[in-house]
Amino acid sequence: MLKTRQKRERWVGTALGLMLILVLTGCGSVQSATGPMSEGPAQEPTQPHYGGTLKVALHGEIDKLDPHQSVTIVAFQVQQNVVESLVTINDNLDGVEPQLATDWTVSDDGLTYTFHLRKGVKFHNGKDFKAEDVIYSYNRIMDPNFPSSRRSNFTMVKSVESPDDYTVVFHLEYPFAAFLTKLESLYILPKDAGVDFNQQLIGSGPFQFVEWVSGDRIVLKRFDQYWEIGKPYLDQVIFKPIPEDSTKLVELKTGNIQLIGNVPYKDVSALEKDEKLKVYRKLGVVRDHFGFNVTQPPFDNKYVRQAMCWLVDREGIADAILYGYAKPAQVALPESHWAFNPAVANAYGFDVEKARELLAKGGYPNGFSATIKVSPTYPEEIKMAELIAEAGKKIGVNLNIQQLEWSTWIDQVVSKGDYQAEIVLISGGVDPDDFFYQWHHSGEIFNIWRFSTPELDQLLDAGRQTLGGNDARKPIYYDIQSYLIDQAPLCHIIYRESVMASTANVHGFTMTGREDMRFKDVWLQP
Amino acid sequence: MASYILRRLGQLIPTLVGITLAVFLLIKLTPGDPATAILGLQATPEEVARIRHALGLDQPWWIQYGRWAIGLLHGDLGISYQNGRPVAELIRQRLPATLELAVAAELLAVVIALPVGIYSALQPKSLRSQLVTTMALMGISLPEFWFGILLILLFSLYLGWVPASGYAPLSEGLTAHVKHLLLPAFTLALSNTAALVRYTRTAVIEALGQDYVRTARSKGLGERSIFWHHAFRNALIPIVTVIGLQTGFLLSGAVIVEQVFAWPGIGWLAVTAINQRDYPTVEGVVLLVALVFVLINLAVDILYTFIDPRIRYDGGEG
Repeated sequence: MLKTRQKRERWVGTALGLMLILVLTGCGSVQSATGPMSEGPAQEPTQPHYGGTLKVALHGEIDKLDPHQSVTIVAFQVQQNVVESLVTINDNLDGVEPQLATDWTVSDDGLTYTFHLRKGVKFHNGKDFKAEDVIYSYNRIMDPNFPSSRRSNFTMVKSVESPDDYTVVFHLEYPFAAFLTKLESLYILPKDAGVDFNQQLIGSGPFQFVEWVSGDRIVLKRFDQYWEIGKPYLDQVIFKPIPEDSTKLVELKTGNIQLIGNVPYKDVSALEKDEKLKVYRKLGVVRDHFGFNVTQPPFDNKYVRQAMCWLVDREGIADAILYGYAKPAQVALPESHWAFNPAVANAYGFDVEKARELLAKGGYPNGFSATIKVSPTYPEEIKMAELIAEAGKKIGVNLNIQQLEWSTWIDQVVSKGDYQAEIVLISGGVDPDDFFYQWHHSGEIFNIWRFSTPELDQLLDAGRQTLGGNDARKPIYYDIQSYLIDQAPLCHIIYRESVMASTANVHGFTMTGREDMRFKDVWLQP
Repeated sequence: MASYILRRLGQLIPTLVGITLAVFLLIKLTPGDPATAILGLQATPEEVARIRHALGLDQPWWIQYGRWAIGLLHGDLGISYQNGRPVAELIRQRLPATLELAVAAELLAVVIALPVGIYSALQPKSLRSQLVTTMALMGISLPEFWFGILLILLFSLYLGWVPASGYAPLSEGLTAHVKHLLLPAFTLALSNTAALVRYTRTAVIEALGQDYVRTARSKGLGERSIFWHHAFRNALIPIVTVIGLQTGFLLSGAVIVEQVFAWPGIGWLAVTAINQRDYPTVEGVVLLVALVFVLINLAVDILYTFIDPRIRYDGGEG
């Protein structure tokens, strides 16, 4: 998922910028996190306190309340407190844990998943949760006449059936190793609720929806009959959209808002020094890259692309542009991921001479001119482009930078392929399939570099369908990473930290690295 | 007068048709597809085609516009692509906040600018007057965005007098309501205040230089009487025109201020809608702003008759 991190001009593209967010994951496929860098202060009181209202800043207005339709991360942040799925992605983002399913079995051929459902769960409208609600929710997403943003997550499902009220069986068309992580986006809504979920969202989560005042607030209140006894602690959660970073920070410092996400990097160190605040940082799966349209010269040439990868000063960018809250990246997978190939850890460095040699090898000894398309929705991307263009000048490569409004950028780069080079950030992924398949397989919309070979397709298909767990799949993903490093349809630049902050009296909040805002375990010290 | 008002209201229709049509065409010409905004980029071409058909986006533009206009005649502004809610409801929720902000800002501008402008006009050569003119120039030049953040830092963060953002409905009490309103209103008022000071100063100086003022002086009238009965009244006509125009512009000018202060008005709604290619919402907001703008102008024209009895609309002017 392309993910937002906007600064001053955030308002310009906020909404659509956000859209892309869940886009890819749309679904659940969220990220696998790398190790936490720091959490809140060490001395946490251990006795939770009940009551109180938590006010949270969202960095934009949500699009839709209906979780089967929304595409923005801000909507997800609200919905994940109201609706639940059979399984949910764990806080470390490296696997799933039970939610409305208590346990499940997978057949040996990997084609049948049987889920046993939690008993005694009630929806906010009083209905008991049963298998019919799972089937209803699945059918709703797959209904061709219903505009759902989640459908592409379940194209591998052949059929769903319920032998009894508390068992659901999914039959797949082909083995799909990442199926469980996709299931997070099958949000379970009650059958026969008789309401428009965009106006009145009903789920089985720890909080129930109260009201949405457009542009002003979304109010949730404690669901007293929540299945997890004793949870949640808070009486109320109020989400307030605040698009402007400076305003959001002042609201946090003055205590009018207790939790914010997307903390601007330039402000992180000041916030960390403030004793009245807690800062949550995690190196997640937000990564920036410099990519090429491989269907056009000069980037149809592998050596030219490799040369570009040597022009990227990753350390310099992490320090100068991200204030040090970033790490150099070589591939999409974070280094802590089980499928990360250590052999590519130092594949490309910053070496202008090497770039010069590769250019000559590729037939461009005197350099060339090309245009990099970026969007001011991601202001850091513009600075990265400037640094890379500066390095390019040393070897006769003249890189012009063209800024495009976000929707226009999407239209030209993603939809039409009308570009030579681009820089943007992407986020998301739990299973390695999330990191590679939709970005590199032929025919996938997000293969924005238009790079595809039968060899790569074969590897991607194998990674997705190989049974036998992580050990069996690992060699395939190692090969994919080595292949992509060599072919270089894109050069990764950095992984960014996700940064959130709260007032010191907020306890029990866990940062995941994909901007989750789960408040079931959160409580306020009076 | 009544026939004049009716005639002016009649002129509204072509104006609104022209404006909405222009906006409709402009947004159609910009790249980007609402279907993608609705379904996410992962949607298959078939899904995109289906939703484009459902929304009528596969029809020629004049049919799309015609449908929208016919819906409008039935009081239906359509459904927002962005959040699936009726556009009329979105506007109903958010218009009051914008109107209140615009009116408060213009009131502030008038209350500050008129006395300052008059004072500056009465003593045009004084040091204070020069200072006022310079400050007014600065006020016009300061970007709202920057000024708003400065106010937030000073009054919310350091002094802690008022909240930095948001809107408190009257149900939360008048004090909370006004506290939330103050900073955005001052920010929005800044450039208008500055401009109005300069207009007032110029208008009053000009009026004081007219023959009828010299005549009044030669008749031996007191300065106070000359000013209030002759100069000021005549200076008011251009001033009222400017105030009217400013209030209209504030509706659209609130876009940036609403973003900075997270003020839930229609300016912010419009920006989000434009970014998401949410055609019905964009059209709804534009229609409304245009309508209000035209109505304000009409109100200003009617006000003229009260300020200057020589202006009459039933039998022409003079």
